[in-house]
Amino acid sequence: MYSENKLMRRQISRSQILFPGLVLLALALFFVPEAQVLSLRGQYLSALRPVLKPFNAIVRTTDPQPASISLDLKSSETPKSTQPDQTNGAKPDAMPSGNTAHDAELDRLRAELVRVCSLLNKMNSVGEAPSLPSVQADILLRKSLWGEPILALNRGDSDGVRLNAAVLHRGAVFGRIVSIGAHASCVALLTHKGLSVTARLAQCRAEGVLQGSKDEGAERMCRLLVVGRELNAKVGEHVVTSGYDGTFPPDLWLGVVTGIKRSGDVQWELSVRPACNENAAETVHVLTGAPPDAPWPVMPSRTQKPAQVSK
Amino acid sequence: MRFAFFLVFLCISATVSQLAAFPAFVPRVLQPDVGMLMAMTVLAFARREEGLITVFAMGAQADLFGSARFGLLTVCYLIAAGLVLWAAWRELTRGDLLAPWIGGIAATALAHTLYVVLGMLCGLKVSWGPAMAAVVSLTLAACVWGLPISWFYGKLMYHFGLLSPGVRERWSVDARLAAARRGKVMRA
Repeated sequence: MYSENKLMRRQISRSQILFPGLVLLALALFFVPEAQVLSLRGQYLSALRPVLKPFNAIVRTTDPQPASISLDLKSSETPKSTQPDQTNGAKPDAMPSGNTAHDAELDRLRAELVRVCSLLNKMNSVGEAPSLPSVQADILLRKSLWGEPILALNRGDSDGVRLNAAVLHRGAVFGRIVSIGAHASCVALLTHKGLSVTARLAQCRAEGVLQGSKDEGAERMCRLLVVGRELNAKVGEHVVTSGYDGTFPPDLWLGVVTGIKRSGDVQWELSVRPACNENAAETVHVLTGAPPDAPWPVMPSRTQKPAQVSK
Repeated sequence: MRFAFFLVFLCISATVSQLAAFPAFVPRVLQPDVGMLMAMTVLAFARREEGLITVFAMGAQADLFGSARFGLLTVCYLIAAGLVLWAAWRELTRGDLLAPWIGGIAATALAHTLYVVLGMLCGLKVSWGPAMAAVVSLTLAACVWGLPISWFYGKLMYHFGLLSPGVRERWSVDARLAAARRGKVMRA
């Protein structure tokens, strides 16, 4: 009895030291650089890939279109009475009464829109690789608990994926590679707070920076910051990459403007809904081409004397 | 050494079930915080130090994939486990399955509520509504999955020989009693 009590007391006193020690160690984890954490995550995932792969195969479903294409199709839907024949593009048989030239023109444009959308659907069919050099990757893991929107892909360093490479889903921008292992990598989505992409409005050509982390209700949105006195942007306008950051090629689709707000004298903040739905995407393409050779400005060193101007 | 191997196995199985197995078969609202349930099982059945080390390891693995700030979830795990131990360590270490089940539910609710509060203090953008919904969903999932997880990992620890002396004694007596009822003789 005596020895049991003694053992228990010793055990309690040892854990009394251990517990604060572990809490201090946990607090020390705050100071681990994010790059190290991401690197560790990539390596851990890479090691676990064979175990995770069977589960990934179970949950795979068919890949739907990016959100905005579906939106366009929905908006192009017309009432049955006025809907044109989509198969051959011919005019509808029965036109509504009181039809004017304006309505006919509208119908023609709708039919054209449906034709273009179906063409886009064909171009974006499953398994078709984009024209840019890329490697196809499956999404291995999604967000868990309180994590930021970072997904894991089943391709890594050995497959030609490099750090900071652009990730596309059916031609639209999905995110950027932020950590890499031998056989797996992590991609930060456009809605990630740390991600920024140089962007351009497709119609009014205003340029700015697209950033993540803007919550609107339950939906995660992006925000586009544009500097300028005037801005002729419209809600529903498409946002594309400008290509100035060297990661994303120009004119890739980023999303659709859902709101415009003036945030300063010469600054505008636009809410942008990303083109890709992270929950729906199953297969993505990681661009493998080398980044463009952008010349960096050469800064003159302090020791270097300025060139003398001859008189 | 045996505990070290078991801890590595626990970390891998927690990661795989949290990130792949549960999302593949279970709806989102019933996906538990597996790491916390495992940690509470080890805390209840194994020696105190091993339990605390497991809580830390499970917190770190959850932090790696499921936290907006590395280290925050580990601190919350440890504080929650500490509070549960402080409130009911005698009941928790009794050796029955009810204790880690209830402890797991309480620790899950505590740890994730703490995460929300501390996260706000640390400057994370967390909205109260969705955050509380997530905490409630995790607690509900802990109610559903706590008992099977405790049973499975308890049995595993029994076979690995990692139970604390008191719990091992109790489980051995139960096993001998059950064998005697079935008409078999079991050695102590």
